[in-house]
Amino acid sequence: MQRHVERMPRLLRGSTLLFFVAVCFTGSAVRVRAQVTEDPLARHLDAAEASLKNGDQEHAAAEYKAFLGEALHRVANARARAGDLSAAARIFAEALNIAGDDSGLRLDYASVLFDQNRSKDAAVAAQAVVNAEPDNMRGQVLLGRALFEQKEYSGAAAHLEKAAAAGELGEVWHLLGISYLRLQQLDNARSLLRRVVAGLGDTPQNRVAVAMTYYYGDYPDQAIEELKRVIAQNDAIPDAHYFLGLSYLARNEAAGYEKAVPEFRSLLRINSEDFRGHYMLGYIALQQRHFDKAEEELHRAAALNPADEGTQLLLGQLYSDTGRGTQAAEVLRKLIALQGRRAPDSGMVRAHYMLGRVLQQSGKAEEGAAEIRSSEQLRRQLRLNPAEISENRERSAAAGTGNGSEQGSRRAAATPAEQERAQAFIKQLSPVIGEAYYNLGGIAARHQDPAVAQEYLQKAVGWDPTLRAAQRP
Amino acid sequence: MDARLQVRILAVAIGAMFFKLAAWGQVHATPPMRFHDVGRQAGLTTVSPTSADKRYLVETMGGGVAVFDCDNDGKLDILVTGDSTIDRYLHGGDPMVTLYHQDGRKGGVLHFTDITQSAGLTTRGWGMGVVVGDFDNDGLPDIYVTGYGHNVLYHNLGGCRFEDVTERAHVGGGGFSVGAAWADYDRDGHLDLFVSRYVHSDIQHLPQPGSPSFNYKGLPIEVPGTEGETSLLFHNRGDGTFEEVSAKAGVDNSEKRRGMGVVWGDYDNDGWPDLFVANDMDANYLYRNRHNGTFEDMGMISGTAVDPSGLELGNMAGDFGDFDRDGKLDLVVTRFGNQPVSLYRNQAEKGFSDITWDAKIGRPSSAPVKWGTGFADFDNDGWPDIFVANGNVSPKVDTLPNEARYREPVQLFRNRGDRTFDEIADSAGLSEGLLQSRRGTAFGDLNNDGNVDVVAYNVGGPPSVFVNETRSSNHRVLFKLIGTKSNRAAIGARVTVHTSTMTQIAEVTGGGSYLSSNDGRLHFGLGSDSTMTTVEIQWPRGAREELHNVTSDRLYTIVEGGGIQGTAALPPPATIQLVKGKAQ
Repeated sequence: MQRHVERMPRLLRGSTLLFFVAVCFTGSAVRVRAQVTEDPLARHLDAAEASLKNGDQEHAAAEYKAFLGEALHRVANARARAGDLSAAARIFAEALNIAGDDSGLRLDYASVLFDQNRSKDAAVAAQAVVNAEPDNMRGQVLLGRALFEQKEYSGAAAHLEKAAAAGELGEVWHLLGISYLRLQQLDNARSLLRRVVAGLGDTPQNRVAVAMTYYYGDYPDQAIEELKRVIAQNDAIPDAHYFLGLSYLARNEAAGYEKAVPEFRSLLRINSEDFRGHYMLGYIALQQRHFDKAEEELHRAAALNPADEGTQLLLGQLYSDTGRGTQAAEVLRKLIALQGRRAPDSGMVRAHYMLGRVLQQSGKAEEGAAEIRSSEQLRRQLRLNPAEISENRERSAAAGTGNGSEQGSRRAAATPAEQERAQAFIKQLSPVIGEAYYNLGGIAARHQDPAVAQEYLQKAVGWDPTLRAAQRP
Repeated sequence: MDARLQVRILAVAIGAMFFKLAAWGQVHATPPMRFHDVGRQAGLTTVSPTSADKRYLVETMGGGVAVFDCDNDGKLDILVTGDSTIDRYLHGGDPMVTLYHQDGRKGGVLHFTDITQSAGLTTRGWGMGVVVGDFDNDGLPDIYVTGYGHNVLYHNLGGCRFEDVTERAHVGGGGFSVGAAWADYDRDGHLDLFVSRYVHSDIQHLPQPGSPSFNYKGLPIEVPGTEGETSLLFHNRGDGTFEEVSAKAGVDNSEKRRGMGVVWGDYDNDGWPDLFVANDMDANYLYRNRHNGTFEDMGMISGTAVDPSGLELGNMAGDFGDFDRDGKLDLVVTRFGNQPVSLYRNQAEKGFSDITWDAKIGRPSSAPVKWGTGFADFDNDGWPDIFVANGNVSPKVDTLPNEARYREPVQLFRNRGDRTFDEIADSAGLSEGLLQSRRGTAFGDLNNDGNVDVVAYNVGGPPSVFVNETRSSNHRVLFKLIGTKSNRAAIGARVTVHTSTMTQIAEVTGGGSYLSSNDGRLHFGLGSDSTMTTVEIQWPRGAREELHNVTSDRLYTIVEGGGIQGTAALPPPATIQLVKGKAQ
């Protein structure tokens, strides 16, 4: 630990590096140089360095911690942007641990937890902010969403109402409306939706959005009524036909096929390349065991949206149902590869299961069993979060696919360029974080606190493995 | 009339006659089935208190029925679980069962008398299911009743008199018990008992309007939103007491899936009973017996846990039976509305294959909410058919458009012998009379005529007794097995019957699909075969016996190690006459 002071030059190197990181990340040296001086990262680091030189280790430690809180916050956000939510959540927790309470940091953390399907944890994080700052509307919205996800509709409605009253109506009305409907407060929902139409404009698009609220609130009859009215006025709104079809299925899936199919066909008459229409027609045909029709529609859907996992899953099912094990296995393997190592969802569970069954049926017992075991493992993980357990038994399987989810995608996938930038940012900032931890470790050692010092040093090495060498006597 | 024309008419007539004669064999093998619900006229009239609107799960689940011979007089009696209401339960509940003793024929029909009180079956609570088994091997069938709050074990004292021995036996259970089934899983000669439990439900704090778990498509009906309850496995110590060993045995359902109907059966032909547990809105369990007192769940690997696309469904109950006569037990599973029955064909090492749609069962079974089911050869043609009892959870659902009705007809799928089925309930008379919302079903030959009859639980009313009046020239046989080294009721014994044209298997079960218990005697339809070349018996503890050249149309009592100890003739098969082209 005595080597801490000897390694001071590295701190300076870190500070210089920070400047370059900022340059690289923004792409403009001139602009960034100005930013860097104002940037809390550089400010805290400079202050820490100065304090250390002046022998004020206590202040230096405070500044390092402030730097780390900010730096880890940014790295966590970059990780989240790059799609690595697990790492992001871990780093957020680390940041909170070292930086203490910061509502922005905590809400970013809550947001990542929510995106990880950890709505209970997200609610706890958001609740902490709301408790401290009742007027923090971002906190209210996040808490409302997290509670909604846990089917705690009363709580969700209470927080979303606060956000709506504070002027966030445009962002929250859809979830608030669904919450009312799930609570069977039809009058409250109607009143809210009237306000929405009055406030946002009585347009067919807004009427469709209102109908979607009824649909997702399990009031398909009201959705159907609303959508029929829209279509009577304007027959050329794709979403109106799409959600009318879905609403017929939500009433009673099998009995709804007859009325739903013409709506999906109408959707395709408006736009023959609307993926959703082909998907739904393929789905219905598959349920009805009209395999030729199902195959035609699903192939079309796949061509229009090759990345849609729901379509690939249905194709796997179709091939399996029609005894084409090789094709089924091929599609399902590709789908599983596409799903990667993200948080499990029911589609992933089913893909592994179907692949396993197909392999078993083709005599590959061991391989099949391995896939089914993977499926079981993922299913168990899902069970840990009740919100992710299969929807209620009568709900349309179709509504659970990626083409009509309740809240859309939780986090837009990062583009490759964004991912690359985020990775570069993290890569360049990591040694600086390592240095900060290292120096904190040194300060702790001087204060005769070896356990804390050891902990900081471990973290330092975690962020910058080259520091391992510096620890050796 | 022109002579040539006369000749041509005669030729056509003769041709038609030949055609009918040529079709004789087929008519002979598949006579038209006919059932008649004699429940009320047979004296089954007791009605339990019941809620009218069925809003809570506890109100919608029950119940079950059992057919068994409580006094060993050779005639099957009927046990029905009792209903109750929230308010009455909070004030002690109602009798958990009603026992109807078969006391003969009145006016040419079966007759039963309610002897619940005199039988001592008076413990109050809220009955759900019932299973029959001789847990103390005294030759008298005992009764286990599952229920909300607590379960009851009734020890048979003889003469259809019973004593509540629940506390002494340590099998009270608790929670929301529903399915149960007896089997000697460790083959020690004593019957053990598995009990599934549904959801955690506190009757003192039921969900109220506005709660997400109290909303079924906008109606104030409780849905199973809470997690399930663990299962129980009571190991019989052989001294009249039991030890709960579910965790040790690996069948405790630590994941808390929502248990429903349970059934034992040796699906892997290793001589040890395996266990199927249907789970509502969850993956089913298929527990393979590992021969050492523990089990491993093969549900997923076997393909019986979920539907072929991997979806978890609203499973209600299952039954094992070898419908395609390939020597392996297949499985039928009932489900909630808009989810067809699954017919899982046992393909040994390849697991089970869901052949529902190829078997032509998928479409007709899809819409209704389905509960009790079972394989039974109702027309004695040698091919097990499938019976399904239907009915939605609450009368309130009838206000919803396109929803499966509260009261629905039953369904009967006749096995065509080529792995396909025809739904024939209407033509078999099963849709006559008032529609009912049904739950559990039990199968057995109530009037000892060689035909399998059906008792179905009707919510809010006495059960239906569908007497099988099918007349045919098909042969059949019944076996009553009595264990000596094995458990006395021979639950788990497998009989394999060989004739010149077919081989069939069946096992004695201590339970039956949804919360019910079937006749412990094994029934085989034998078609045109009047003799069984070989009858093999594999007793639960492993001993094997063979009988040769056994005449059909008899009820045989076979004692373990002692061969046939009793024979009673069944009525001779009907002589079929062709009248207007129909078998009569």
